[in-house]
This record gives sequence, structure tokens and C-alpha cells, in this order.
Amino acid sequence: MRKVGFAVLLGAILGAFDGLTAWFTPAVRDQLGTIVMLSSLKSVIAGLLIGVFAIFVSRRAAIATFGLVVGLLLAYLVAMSPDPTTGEHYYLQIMVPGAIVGLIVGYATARYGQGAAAAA
Amino acid sequence: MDDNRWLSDATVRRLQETVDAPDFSGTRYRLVRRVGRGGMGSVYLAEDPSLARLVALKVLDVDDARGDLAERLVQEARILARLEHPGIVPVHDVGRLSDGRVFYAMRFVEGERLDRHVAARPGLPERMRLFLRVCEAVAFAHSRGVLHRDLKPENVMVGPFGEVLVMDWGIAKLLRDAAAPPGAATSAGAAEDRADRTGHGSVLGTPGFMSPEQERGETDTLDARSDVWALGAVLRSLLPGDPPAPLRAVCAMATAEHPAARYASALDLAADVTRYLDGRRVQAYRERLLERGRRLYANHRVAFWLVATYLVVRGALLVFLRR
Repeated sequence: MRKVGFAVLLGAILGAFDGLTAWFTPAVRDQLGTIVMLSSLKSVIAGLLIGVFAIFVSRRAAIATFGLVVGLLLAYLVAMSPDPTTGEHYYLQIMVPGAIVGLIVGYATARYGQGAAAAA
Repeated sequence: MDDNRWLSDATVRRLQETVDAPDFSGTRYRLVRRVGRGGMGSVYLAEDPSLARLVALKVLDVDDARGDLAERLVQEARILARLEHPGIVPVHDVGRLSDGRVFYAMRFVEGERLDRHVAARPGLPERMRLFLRVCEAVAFAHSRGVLHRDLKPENVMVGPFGEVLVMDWGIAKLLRDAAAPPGAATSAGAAEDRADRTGHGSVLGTPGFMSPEQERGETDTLDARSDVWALGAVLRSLLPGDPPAPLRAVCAMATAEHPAARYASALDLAADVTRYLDGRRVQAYRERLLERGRRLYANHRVAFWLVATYLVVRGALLVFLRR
């Protein structure tokens, strides 16, 4: 369970950070709170899935790849909702960083969550 | 071969060995061949027919009119008997030959000496792992109140499966405050007395692998840190020509002039070497900021590049797709 906790916590932190970068985009700055919340929620869900996956799979590359795919899929679901003001979609801005965040959470869970589990 | 001689040197040597070979007829062992010679005895490969296995027999083969050396050989066997550890060669039996000479039987270790073993293996982590096994065996001996006093690469054997065995406990010393194992208090006490008598004031050990206090013959004050010094010397001998600074510092701390400046135990020394192997900061070395950065980078290279990739991608998206 430590791996799950680790992945969820890391996902929440990185998701919140990823959401906060929306501040640099003036067009969506007024929706920053919602973006941060949704980004965190997305990454927490990704972290949960990655953590559970890491309980059953020990190969680091497999967990990192799973993180990448989950991050990409969840980011796609978020990017499907258009900007309420302009109706524009931000697929690239959401999906590429979301996938990398998923990859980081997956890799970190395999690399560092393992140690936490072993120490427990 | 000399023209005036009708036997070759090899033949003469073999005949000499046959003449010198101990007579095991009164024991259960069958001599196979001599495998080595030490300061006070020779080691023979022998067969133990009752258990159908090969054993090594250490036999006293020097003049010992007073019986001191025989006593020391028996004590060595008794010390080994109380050190049951995978890293210490086990003793099976002790006895006397028909001519009165003392011998003891131990496991026959097939392998090579540590110095020869590492000469063919340049990998530093592998060498350090072997060294850690030596430290574990020595720490175990210390926990049983035994100082080896002659630790050197030649006294460590590496078996064919990578097992490490600390050998030659001939000048080992029992510490006064040693807790004897249950049921062995009497013999341990007697052995302790003998150890003090044989070792007091005399210099026993190998130059270069002997602590300064051991070299000065201060046998009464020797403790585990004397073996820590020797372990530091062993570690130094295992390092390549230009070793990493943290390992140099570990060697320097282990071989400090004053015992108080050394690692308190073989386990502490092993822990510092383990820290180095794990990419953590070693106790003996105060690293600079740049070195710390390098070490952290080496340990977390992939994570570093993943985060860097994220930041670059995020930055690029902000710059090129800014609304």
C-alpha cells in the first residue's frame, strides 16, 4: 500500500504544479483554480492506478510505460472539454505534459516507492 | 638437471615430501597431498573415509620442545570451533598423530586467495562486495570476543561460488570481556589465559597489515579497532591505483594512527563502504557541494532527465502556443 500512497501523493503534487503553469497562459488565467483542481484530480487518479499496477508488476520499465499511457489517456479525457469561453481545445498543452507527468509518477513509483515498501 | 645427479629436482622434492609427510595411520584420515605451509604448520589435503569427504588438516611441523606451539594450534582450533559463521572456515576435529604432533581438521576450501582473485576482476563494486563479506566475518568474530590479528588478502579465500572465508586464525586473541558461548566458559577461559601468555609483549602479525599498537607489541590493549586497521589495509589493497576520494577517506579513517579516530567496529566500516556502494554520503568523507551534486545526479539520473524533459516541454508549449 505504500507504493499506492507514494504514487497518489506524487501525482497530487505534480498535478497541482502542472495545473499552476496555466498561470502563464493569459487566456485561461481566470480559471486557474479549476485547472489546478482538475489537474490534481487527474494526477491523483493516475497515481492510484499506477500505484496499484506497481503492486503486481515489479519491472521498472513496465510501470513507467503504464504511467505514460495512463497519464496520456486521462489528459485526453480532460482535453476533450473545450475552453468554456472560446470553445477551443488544448490537446497539445494538456496531453503532452500530462503524459510526461504520468511517466514521472510511474518511474518514481517503481524506483523510489519500492524502497519505501521494502523499508516498511 | 645436474649431470652428476640421477634424480631430478622434482623427484627429490617429491621424495622429501613423502619422507616429511605426517603419519595419519592412527587417525581416520588418509593423506592425499600437502597443499600449503605456514609459520608453524603445514596444511594437507586428506580424505575422511567415514564421511566420504575431503578435509584440510593443519599439522604442527616445527620443533616444539616446550609444547607452546601445540597449545597454540589447539587453541586456534578451539577459537575456530566457537566461530560458526559462513565466512569463517569451520573446524571439524582436533587430535594427535602417532608421533605426538597436534593437528586439526577443517573444511577444505577450494578457491583462490583474495589478492589473486581480485587481480583478475577489475570491477570495484565486486571487490567491495567481497570486502564487505570479510567485514561481516570479522565482525562476527569480534562479537564472540575474538580478534584475528593477521587479516590480509592472503588469509582470505574466495570459493568457486563467490563465498568468502577468512582463514588462518593462528594468532587470534580472545578478548578478556568476551562473552563465552553457553557451555564453553571453561575452555574459553583456559584458552584466554593461554592467548595472553603466548601473545604478551611479542609482535605477531604481518607488516603492512598490522595496526600501530599491534606493531608496538601492546597486546594487552588491543581491541576490535586493531582488526579495523587491518581491514582498512585490506581495503586499500583492493582499490585500483586511483581510487575514488570517498573510498580513500574510508581507508584513511580505518587506518588512523589512534584507535579512537578509527571506525569503532568492523560493522561501522562495512556500513560506510555500503553507503559508498549505494551512492550515499560516506561518514569518513566531507564532500564538496559540486561532488554532492554529482553524486545525486549519478543516483537519480533518469528522474533528473524526466523532470528536465517535462520543464523543457512545458516551457516550449508556453512559448510557442501562448494565447
